[in-house]
Amino acid sequence: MIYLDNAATTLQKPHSVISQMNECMKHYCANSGRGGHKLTMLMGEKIYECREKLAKLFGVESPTSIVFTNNTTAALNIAIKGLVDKNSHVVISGMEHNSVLRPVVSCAGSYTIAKADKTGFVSAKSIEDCVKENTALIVVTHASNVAGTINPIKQIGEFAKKNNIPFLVDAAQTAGVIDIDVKRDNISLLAFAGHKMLYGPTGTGGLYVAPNIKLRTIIEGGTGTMSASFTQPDFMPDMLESGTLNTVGIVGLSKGVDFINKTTIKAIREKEVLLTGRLIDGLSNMDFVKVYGGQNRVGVVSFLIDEMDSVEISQRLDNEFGIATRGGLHCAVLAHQTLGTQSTGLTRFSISEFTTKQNIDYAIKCVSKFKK
Amino acid sequence: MSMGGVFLYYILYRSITFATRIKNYFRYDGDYVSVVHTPSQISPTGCSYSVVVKKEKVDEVLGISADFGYKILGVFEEVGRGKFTEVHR
Repeated sequence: MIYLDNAATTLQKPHSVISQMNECMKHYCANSGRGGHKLTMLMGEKIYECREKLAKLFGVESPTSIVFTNNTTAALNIAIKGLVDKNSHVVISGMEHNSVLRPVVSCAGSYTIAKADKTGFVSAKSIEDCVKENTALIVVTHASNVAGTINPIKQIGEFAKKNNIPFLVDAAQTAGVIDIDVKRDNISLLAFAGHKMLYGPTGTGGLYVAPNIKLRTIIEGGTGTMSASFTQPDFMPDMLESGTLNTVGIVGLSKGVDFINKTTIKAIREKEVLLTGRLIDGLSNMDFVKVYGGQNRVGVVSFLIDEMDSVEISQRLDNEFGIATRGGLHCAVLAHQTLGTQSTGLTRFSISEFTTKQNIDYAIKCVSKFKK
Repeated sequence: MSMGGVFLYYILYRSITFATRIKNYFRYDGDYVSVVHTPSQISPTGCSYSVVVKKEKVDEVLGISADFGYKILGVFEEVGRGKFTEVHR
């Protein structure tokens, strides 16, 4: 199997991730922050260690500003529902995932969709044009999960900061491949996946919350602290982390972040650019293939083949050539509306650090066989 | 909890994350710094976690806690096995 569905989740994980999770399950997978025996305390240290690594990775001053979630969707929901109410106006981009669109539609008083260009690029100007007096939040994907196009979050962040509007970035596709610094990029809230380009297991993700942002809680319960109180703790990270954490997953994520740091984001990005360019060049040379997205992008390449359904293309790539891809709408109807592909969907190749040049060349060769 | 007959000081935090951050801050000092589940009798809020240090380290821990903006729930000296006295500062 050639796995090119890494935008959904990375399949190949570093050996250190797997071995540490195995070690954890065998020897110390106790419940962190619950009681005081040796194993719960050890687990507490492991959880903190991961929090600290993530904080460092994203330029976050205090590790207590990082909250663990089960995925990016959970992080986005915590941020949006914790900040927005029926009096609020929200600006989102035309490339957002349903995990942004749906919570905004369900809880905001009103919202405006900032237009992206035909490559999926969302300019700072398009965001600025949508802001109103009661705008309570701006949400932009760092890079679309459909087009892969990277958005100018630093410029958008500057505008948001100048206008005192919280800025939420969906970094599901970029955390681990593009350098993110919440201070430099003026990010108030950063939602990220642990199981994609940070190479943790599924069921891991997180949210950075800037110290000046106060979120309402959407989940309350046991935090292992302040147990005599009838009300939820009002301090981070406890206030947003009720219930048992995915301890074994976080231990794995911790090793995934080590892998990123050891390999370096610079080297990861260079390889990604190289392989993505090779893939785009190969596909673009075929007159029956249309590739979507801009030049400056992550390792996401979506395409269509003349008159063929995107799901059928994916199925054939799987069944006839052993290549895992994703067809359809990628849970991102807004992005497909922007690209004009909502009726056909797109077939998506997405790469990871474990993808090879040979994998890319094989994928191109297989697509070439679709020519009638 | 005593070390070589010397009783230790418990500095109480609301969150295990705060206590662990403090412990890690001093990880290269070589001094004794530990995190424990706070004994119920001195925990004012139900469950909490304490950083446990020798007397000489208390002021340093309180200083860095203030820098981090962490509220301290109390400081206690263990004066005997399971017996504590609150230290007023």
